[in-house]
Amino acid sequence: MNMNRWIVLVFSVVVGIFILTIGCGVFTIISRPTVELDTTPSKSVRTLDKDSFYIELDRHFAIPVGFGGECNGDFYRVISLREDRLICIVPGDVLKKNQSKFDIFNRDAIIYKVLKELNPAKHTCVMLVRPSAFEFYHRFLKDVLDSGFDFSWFPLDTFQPIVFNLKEGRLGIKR
Amino acid sequence: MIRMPVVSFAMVIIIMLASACSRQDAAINYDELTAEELEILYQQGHRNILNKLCDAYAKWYLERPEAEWWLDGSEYKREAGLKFVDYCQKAYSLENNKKAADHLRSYYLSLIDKQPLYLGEFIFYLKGSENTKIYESFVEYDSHFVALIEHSVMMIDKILSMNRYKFSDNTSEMIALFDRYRKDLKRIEPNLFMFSAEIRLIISMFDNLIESLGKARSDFEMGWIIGEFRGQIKTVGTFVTNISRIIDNPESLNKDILVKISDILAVFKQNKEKYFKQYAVSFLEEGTMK
Repeated sequence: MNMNRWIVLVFSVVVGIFILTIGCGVFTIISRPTVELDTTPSKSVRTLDKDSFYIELDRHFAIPVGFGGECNGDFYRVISLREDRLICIVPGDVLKKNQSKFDIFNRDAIIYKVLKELNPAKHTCVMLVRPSAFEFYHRFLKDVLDSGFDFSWFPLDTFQPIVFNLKEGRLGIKR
Repeated sequence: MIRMPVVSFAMVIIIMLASACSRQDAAINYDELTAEELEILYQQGHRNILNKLCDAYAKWYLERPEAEWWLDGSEYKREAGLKFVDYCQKAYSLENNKKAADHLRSYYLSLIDKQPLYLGEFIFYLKGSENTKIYESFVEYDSHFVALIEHSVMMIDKILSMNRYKFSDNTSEMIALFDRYRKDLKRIEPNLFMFSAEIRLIISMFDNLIESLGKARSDFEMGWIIGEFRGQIKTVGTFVTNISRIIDNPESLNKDILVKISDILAVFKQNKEKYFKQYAVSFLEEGTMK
């Protein structure tokens, strides 16, 4: 009798673990983000569009660059050694000073204010994603999509500056 | 009055203790220690020796004969190099040690030839270096040299594209132009910094060109001499062209460095354009050829 009890107990535990494993798997599949990064960004992302708003993602910071071919002078140092080329870089001290303002986990971050001011029917978001930001990209993308924006993205290397080629009207970043 | 001996005794003890402690510090002569010994002290908390540590590693890494490194192995040299750069970068960023910047400037200059993108690091440490004369030489004279090379290559291309049978009609103008380049090269040579290895060779190339053109007997021979010179100057000037290209298109540099040196790049570029224009207004231009 005792033996039977043990068999039932062990069987219940095994079945229980099995059900839990299957359940977690299903839950994981359901809870995965519905939007995935394409392996390669579309070529159209390179073309500068006045209605596209560029956002730089570096670690968990989202920094508003500006519309195609513009750099936000409040945060970016704009280098223009050639008339046809605009280089935009956030200096390290500016990033350090404004960390909470750029933090995507801060609901009062500048980027959310900027998104509120944009019109999803007219504007699209182009995200310039550094490797350190991949981990946070989906989290931020969800907010962008929830706000009703269409989006595209372009990968940036860790030390690569943002470059706008004004003459050719495209993102001047080499891949 | 009764306490006087006690106070005196206490004073003696304090003085003895103080002198013992100071002797312990004085006993370490940092100048006699090797870089690795200094590093042990630094890791034990002697943070005030960072500058000495940078200096010791720099001298060790930059000045040690290659044969000695060969005996110890390339991995050992690589490690010493990483430590040298790390400690000197710290010494410069934390204590604004200009000598550390000087060491790093020399180091990055030695890498530029094979890896031109280190130009950014080189300029960054050049800016912080204690030797301001080198910085002035770079923005003033090296920019002039780049302008001269670019202008001479452009003019030679123009000369070669004109009618080959008319070289002799323009011999004196051509020689005057090449002589102007040569005189300017000789004038800037003592002050040149980055391209000091190239300039001597280029001066002698202009010497030969002018001499050969003076002796040439036919248009065909002149064309051949100028064509040869064009090939030579393009080869010798490859390093100059690479550096100039990066200065004109600096987006391939590290952004954190670029943001700190963009002002120097702008000055260099302005000077280069200024000198280039000086040649353009002074000498043979399109349409003035006979």
